[in-house]
Amino acid sequence: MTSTPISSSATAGSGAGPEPRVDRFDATERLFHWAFAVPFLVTLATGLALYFPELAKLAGNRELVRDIHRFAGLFTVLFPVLVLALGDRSNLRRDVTEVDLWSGDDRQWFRAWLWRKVGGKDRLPPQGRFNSGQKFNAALTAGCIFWLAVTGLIIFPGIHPPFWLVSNSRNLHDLAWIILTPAVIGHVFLAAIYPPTRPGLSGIITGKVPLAWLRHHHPLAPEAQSPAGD
Amino acid sequence: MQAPGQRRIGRRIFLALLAGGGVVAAGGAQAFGAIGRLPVIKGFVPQDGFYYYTVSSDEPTFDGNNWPLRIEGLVENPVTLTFHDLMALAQSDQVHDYMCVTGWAVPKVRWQGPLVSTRLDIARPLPTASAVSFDSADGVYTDSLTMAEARRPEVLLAHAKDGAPLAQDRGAALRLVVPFMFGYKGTKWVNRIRLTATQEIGYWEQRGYDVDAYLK
Repeated sequence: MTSTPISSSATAGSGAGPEPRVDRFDATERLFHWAFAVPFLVTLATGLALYFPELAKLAGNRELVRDIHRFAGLFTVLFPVLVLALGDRSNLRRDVTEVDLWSGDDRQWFRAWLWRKVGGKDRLPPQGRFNSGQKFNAALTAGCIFWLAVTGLIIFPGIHPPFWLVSNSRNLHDLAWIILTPAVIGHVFLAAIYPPTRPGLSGIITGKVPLAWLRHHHPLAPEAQSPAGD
Repeated sequence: MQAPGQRRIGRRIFLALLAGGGVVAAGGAQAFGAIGRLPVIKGFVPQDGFYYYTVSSDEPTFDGNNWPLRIEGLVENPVTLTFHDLMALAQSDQVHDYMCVTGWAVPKVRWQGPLVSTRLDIARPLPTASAVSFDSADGVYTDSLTMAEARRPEVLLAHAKDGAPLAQDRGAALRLVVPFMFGYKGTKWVNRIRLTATQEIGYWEQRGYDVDAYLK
């Protein structure tokens, strides 16, 4: 990437001061993300141990693993709901709208991005607050979590539904995590490991991202328009 | 506020997943045998349709020869049978659907082994014995049947499944098979049978499962 020089504003210091950073996610957005992500990862790890024989042997204590899985699964839904109930939802509402609405450029970006995976060289159109890959990931996650939560509740202990319902719920639960897990792996890879995109990680931790990064990856985002360090 | 050229694709993806999940759920289990055969998953899950459950980190191992089975408790003749003793008994050969209470099933599993009833006869139960506990060599798992249930002609201690010696993960050397009940009644790695005056509560039953595990 060839970065355009960014003139430092008064608030960002002068000369060789720190790299200018701008707001990306507010406190509620960040809390919402982690209130979901932490229990989800615990649920995923224990779920894999319940499913795969070799991990099952490592786990050994099936009852404990099962109980952790159940409660972490409950918290994966309850914690984010709590954040929604108590937090300032205005930015999250905007995010949902962003995820929902795809411009012509978004659709083109998604096609070009997929095409690049198999060697295509199509241009990626400039993207707004979220690119359409992120939008797709968010919608996919929401859909899979819906079914994981519903089917997880059906097979929760203490409820004794008929065998066909347990059986179908179990199958759908399996299908949902098999679809969702690759998306989660891709998300973690792009957010925390892949060098070109990982500078954005600070956005979901401190709330701020390097302005240069935002201008490169999300040039149409409102925050990318503002003067540096604003 | 939808600007020109924008489409509501995010919600379509979400709603399509809800609808797709509903269709799949309604479609039943048949479509799903395929999941365990997906390329990535295939290497990690057993291909005989069973899932592997264990409650201890030590899996008992069977060397193919030595598997002493102790029959004790309220019996006239407490005995320890060797694996070869057991193989010399009259063998039963039965095919049953296997059903796990957690929602998976394997159709038409063939089990071979002597009936539990035959073994009880060897030990000669006392009149006071009303139930039978089956303990696993893992030292943790146990489950029980009433005497009447244990004597039913479908109840056997299998050493072979689908025509081959029982696999380690399936409970070799001996696994209790109770075809009319959910799978958790089927103790794996059985090395002790105890006759008791009252029915004992099994491992998962102490943790909330029904003692009555009849298939519903």
